Amino acid sequence: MHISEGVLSGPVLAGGWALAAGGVALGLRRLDYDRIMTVAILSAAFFVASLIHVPIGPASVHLILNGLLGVVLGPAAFPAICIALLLQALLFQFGGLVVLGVNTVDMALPAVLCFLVFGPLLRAGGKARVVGAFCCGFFAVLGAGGLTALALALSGEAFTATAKLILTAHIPIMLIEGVLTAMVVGFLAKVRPEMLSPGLSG
Amino acid sequence: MTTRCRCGFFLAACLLCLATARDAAAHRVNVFAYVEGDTVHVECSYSRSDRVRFGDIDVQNAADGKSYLTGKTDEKGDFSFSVPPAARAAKADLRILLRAGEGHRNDWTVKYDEYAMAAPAARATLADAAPVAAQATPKAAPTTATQATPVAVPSVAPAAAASMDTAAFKALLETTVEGAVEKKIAPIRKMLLDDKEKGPGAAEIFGGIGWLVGIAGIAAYAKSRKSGRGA
Repeated sequence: MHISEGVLSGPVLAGGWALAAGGVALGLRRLDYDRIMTVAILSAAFFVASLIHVPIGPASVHLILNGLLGVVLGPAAFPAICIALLLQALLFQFGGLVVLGVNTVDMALPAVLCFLVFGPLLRAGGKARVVGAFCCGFFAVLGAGGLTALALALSGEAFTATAKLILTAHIPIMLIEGVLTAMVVGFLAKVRPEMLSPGLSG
Repeated sequence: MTTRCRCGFFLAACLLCLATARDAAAHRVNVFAYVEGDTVHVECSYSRSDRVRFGDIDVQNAADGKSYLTGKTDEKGDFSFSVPPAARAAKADLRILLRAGEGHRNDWTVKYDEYAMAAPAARATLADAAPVAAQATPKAAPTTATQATPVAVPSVAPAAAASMDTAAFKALLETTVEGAVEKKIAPIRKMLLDDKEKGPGAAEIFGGIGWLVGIAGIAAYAKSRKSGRGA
């Protein structure tokens, strides 16, 4: 899901940076003093997640966990993902510095959108929360794949072919992340409800 | 607070267990190319075990981006091509560009010196060493060409005789040494390749987590000063 350096065209890179900057600023403004450590822990989880590799046929995909960050952090997922991606670019050479903006938007925007769309389900508690958390994990990856394909399409690759390739490769990851997010949210709701975004604890 | 810590540790521990359990490597493509005689071998991989199957290869002039040839990697992520004569004539560095799809891209540059020194491997046998050396000189590196040409051209006819002149000896020696060096550096090249394909190690992973904790600490400090809570 990390787009490499030198693939995208200038306007796409600039647009990515603009959106990412907006998202990060919004996330930081909403960030509460007490939640800084939570953000850091989840940022670390995201940072490590892409090392967990799942081989599927010819391709191989890795965990992304952006849905989980969306559920727990809300808009603060933007700065968390941005910093984790920056460190991945510097330390692992995944992605790159120039494409950091686009990569941040690709992964953080769907996460925050899922948080907004499935928020009511997450707040409902019980089974609805499990379903909501699964949907967040599932659709955040779906959205990330879609946005990656879109960014590539805007730079000249054929959209439908790329999107199909990326999305089919990521179907197992969508399911895995859905289940994982549901499990983690269930666990957190039981053990430490206030770690979930304010107003989400059932 | 203790429960929160426990949650965090639980999460981190789970992830680390998973991360170390698998052969840790992820989505970054590697390209590695080396010259053997007149052929350039390209190896493309995501990680040691995960090759780039049927990735698009574009061999370009590194200076102006003009494409010499294109192709696809095979099942094992390998691709070979002979140095394009146009590139040799232009003394161009070759940029080997790999597009693995889904936004994965990397490149590797083969310098002119690399393939110019490893000249065509046709000068092998003793008997035809002299004539072939004379033919090969325009293609060979500038240094060998200037040394060899004045001696080799007049010596073609006497070389047919049994006695071996200096040019033929030089050519033979060069080929032999090249072959021996090639054999010696093969394991080193393999080592370099392995190192390049190795995923991030523990140092990078824990370093990154340390950075995140540090950034969180700085953020908490800044916020506490602003709100006057820590003062």
